[in-house]
Amino acid sequence: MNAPSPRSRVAAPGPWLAVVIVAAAGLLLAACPSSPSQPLRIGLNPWPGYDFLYLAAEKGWIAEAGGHVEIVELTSLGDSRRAFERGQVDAFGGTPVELLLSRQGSDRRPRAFYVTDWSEGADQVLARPPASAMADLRGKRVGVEPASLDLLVLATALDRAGMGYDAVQRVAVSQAKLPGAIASGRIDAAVSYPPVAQTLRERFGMRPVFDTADAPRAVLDLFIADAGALKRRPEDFTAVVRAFHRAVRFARRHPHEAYRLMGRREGLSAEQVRSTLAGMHVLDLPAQGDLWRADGAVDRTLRRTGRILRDAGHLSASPAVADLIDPTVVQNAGSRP
Amino acid sequence: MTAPLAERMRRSLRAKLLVPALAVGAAAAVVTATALYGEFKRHSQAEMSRWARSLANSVNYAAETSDEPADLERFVTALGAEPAIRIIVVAAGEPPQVLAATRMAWWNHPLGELPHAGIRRQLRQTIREGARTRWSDDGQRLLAAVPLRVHRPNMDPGRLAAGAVYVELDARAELAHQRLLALLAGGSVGAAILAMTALGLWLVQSRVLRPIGRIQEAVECRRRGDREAYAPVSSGDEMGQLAAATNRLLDAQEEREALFRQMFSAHPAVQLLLDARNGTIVDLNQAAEAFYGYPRDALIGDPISRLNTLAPEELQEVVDRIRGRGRLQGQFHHRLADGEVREVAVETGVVEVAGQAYLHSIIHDVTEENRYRRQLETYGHLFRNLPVGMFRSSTGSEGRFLELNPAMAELFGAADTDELARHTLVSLYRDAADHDTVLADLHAHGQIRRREVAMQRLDGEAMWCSLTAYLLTDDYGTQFVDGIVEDITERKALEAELQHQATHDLLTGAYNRLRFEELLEQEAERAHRYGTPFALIMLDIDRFKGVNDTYGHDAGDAILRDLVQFVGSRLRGPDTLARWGGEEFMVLLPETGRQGAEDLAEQLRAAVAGHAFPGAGPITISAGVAEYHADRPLKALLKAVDDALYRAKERGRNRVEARGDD
Repeated sequence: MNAPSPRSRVAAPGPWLAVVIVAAAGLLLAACPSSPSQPLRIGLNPWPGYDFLYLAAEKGWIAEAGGHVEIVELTSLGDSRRAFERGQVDAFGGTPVELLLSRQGSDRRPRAFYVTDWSEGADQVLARPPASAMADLRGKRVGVEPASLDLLVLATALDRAGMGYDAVQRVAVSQAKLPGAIASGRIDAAVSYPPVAQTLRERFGMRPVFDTADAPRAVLDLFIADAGALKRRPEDFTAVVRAFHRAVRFARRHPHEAYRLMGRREGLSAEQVRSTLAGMHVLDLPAQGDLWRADGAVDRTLRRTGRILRDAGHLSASPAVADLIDPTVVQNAGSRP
Repeated sequence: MTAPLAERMRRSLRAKLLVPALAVGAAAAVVTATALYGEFKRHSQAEMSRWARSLANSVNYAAETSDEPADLERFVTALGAEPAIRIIVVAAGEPPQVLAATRMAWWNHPLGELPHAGIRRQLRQTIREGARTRWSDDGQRLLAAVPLRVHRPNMDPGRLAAGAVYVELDARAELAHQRLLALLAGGSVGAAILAMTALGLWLVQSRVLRPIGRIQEAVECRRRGDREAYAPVSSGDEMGQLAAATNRLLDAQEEREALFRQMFSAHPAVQLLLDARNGTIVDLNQAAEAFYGYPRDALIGDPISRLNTLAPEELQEVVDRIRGRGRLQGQFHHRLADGEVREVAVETGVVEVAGQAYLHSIIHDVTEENRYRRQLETYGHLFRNLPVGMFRSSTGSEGRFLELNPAMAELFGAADTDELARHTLVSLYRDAADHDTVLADLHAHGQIRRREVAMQRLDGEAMWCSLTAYLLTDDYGTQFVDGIVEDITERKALEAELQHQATHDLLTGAYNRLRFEELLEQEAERAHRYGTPFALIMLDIDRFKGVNDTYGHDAGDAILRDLVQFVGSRLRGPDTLARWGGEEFMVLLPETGRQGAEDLAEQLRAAVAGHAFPGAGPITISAGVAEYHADRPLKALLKAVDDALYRAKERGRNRVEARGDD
């Protein structure tokens, strides 16, 4: 019996099946919702330093720069941090305190990628008369928003006044509730910043006993984002930074229009915004370069803040600064105007 | 790309199975996904509606429990940080004012200043009419509003203000998620169908297509001439049975092919196989090789005009005609290798093998047959047209006609051959015994030649015929008689006349002397053999010269004729009268002695003497009588009777003298 070989005649079904499977897989993949269709969400609390990004969003400059971004408005830095930690936003405007706390308190990997401003008087320690200096507050109750920049401001103020960290009673009061706490007499002084600071001064006649003008570059405001989001959506972040830069430049040329738009969000007049901004130094792109150097302002502030928070018991350990920053956004935005 | 696919679809069972299975799988996936998406979407929308109302109610709760406006504001913004929540607006009061919203810019503004007319409208309607939930026109946002009653801390203490909470949810992500789920479900169904298809195809491939391929391969090998190729019978199932059946079929086909090949090549009939398009010789068998004298290879590939003497264009016409009709019988001239041209009868049919048409011709050499046929035609012509009666009859006692020609019918006075054929041969004989004689002679000698037989026409007229006949026996042992019949009646009459003239006297009609002498010798023979006596009377008219002289020769002739008539009528039966010469007559009297002869002679003399012969008056005769003696020669008898007559003359005439043996 001579059995002929069947191989040449009867081919394996492989190619056909492969085509079918690939086609089916392609069909399913094509149906998956793609992440770029979702906007990059940035949480911002009311703070003039961040309002330039709000201005840029209102003007449509972020979209012009190629970014798909949604501003999520929150009432406080703490709310912004929590929204970030809960994954509700990809990035937020915050301070080194929020950066460090969210680093420790969540499984997110926060990275500072832009310095919006440093406080030059905007952050204040306000006290009710007759107190007129930090020394007058010894033993007094000072309203401080827990786990916030206020701690850094208070620490700086106490440090400058040569006082220890425990020289005052720290009372946990959020910014929004400071007026009520003052009105009720629950606190004697408060760490605050515009617009609440404005309210405190106007309604209760409180006076600053310290402001950050006395300690320039000590209190920075940052844009913080998750490392994963930074990696996934570099174009959006670049667009954010460039649009912010554009808004800062625009405000310098057209301050009234810019402040009017920015004040609308805060419930402030243009004049009020202008006066608030007088207490801070807002930074455009070119101003970023020096800050991100090793041992630059960012590095120093983060290390210092880490120490303060650790001393205050908010942090168990100070993480390495390199794990907290991502200067590539600034570099990309600056190198490719 | 399309043509090869269509070709594969046509040729490949696998493709035929795969494509419908794919279509079913895809359709099932689409239908499942669509149906599930519809269901998921409804469910999701209902869930989102509940969630939206729950959110609104949560805001309501926060509004009712907040001591400070800031609490509500903070709650609203914190709540609004959720990606699915696009907008929250809390409005209350108369006129309504925004107490809190996810957009800070709207805080503490009159509701009328909200940039979104849709939100304004829905809040107002909700304040007036109660909870409202609806979907945006594009179906991607859920717009829910519930009424609330809020105690505004900075308002008058204890005063409740009517208001509403507006929550706008972004349903895109949720809907996309539901779509993905539906697609995954649909894809799973499709994938399951595809997997089953793949399994089915694998089964078809391994259990059906591959065995079929092997069977096909075996058939191809056989077709290429490998007689050892068999389809492997690897299982006992239907495919195995198919393989076994195929093997049996192949064997049977091979046997049949061998049979047909043998029928072609070894068959003694000359056979040619031609290309039906142009008549080129494709094959020829051994008989053809032998017949034409060419080796097989010398003819294959050559046009049929190599053999057929027709012109090539005529041959092409013949080929075309055969192809059109399917068969043809005809005769042609074929030239052999040695140059001889033979007449052949060709029977050609069209056979078709594997789409190729051939002309299969069987050739018979009909040269001799034709020659024989032409001879037969000649014979037939002769048979029909010769003026000689020809017949074939049975050998029975009646002699039934088997064949007869028109001349035969005419001979016997029949209107045609059929009429004569209704009669028997024996009925044509005047004496039926002649027929028996003829048959007996034929059986004895095998033939008779020119036998004169007395026959009769159908109307009874007598005729003499000359019959030449042969007794023949065919291959089956049947005997029959072939005969030729000629009408010899006239000849016979002429012969009789001549005979009469040779033996009779022309004037008187009596026997002449020559005939008389023959009869005399015969009588003498008989007398010698049997010892019977006979006698002669010699008569002579007395003085006859005087009659001639007196009345003339005519009168004398008349007297001679009358005398013969007169004497003849008075003789006995066996007696014979002859004119001996002149006026002398001789009478032979068998079995009669001298006395009897004398008595008769005397009676005759007396009668003549008493008779008046017209024209010449009375005449007398003288007679001499003598008896034969066996021991003496006839000459002696003649001399004796002559002597007796002489004596009667001498003794006075009109008298009778006898001469004895003394």
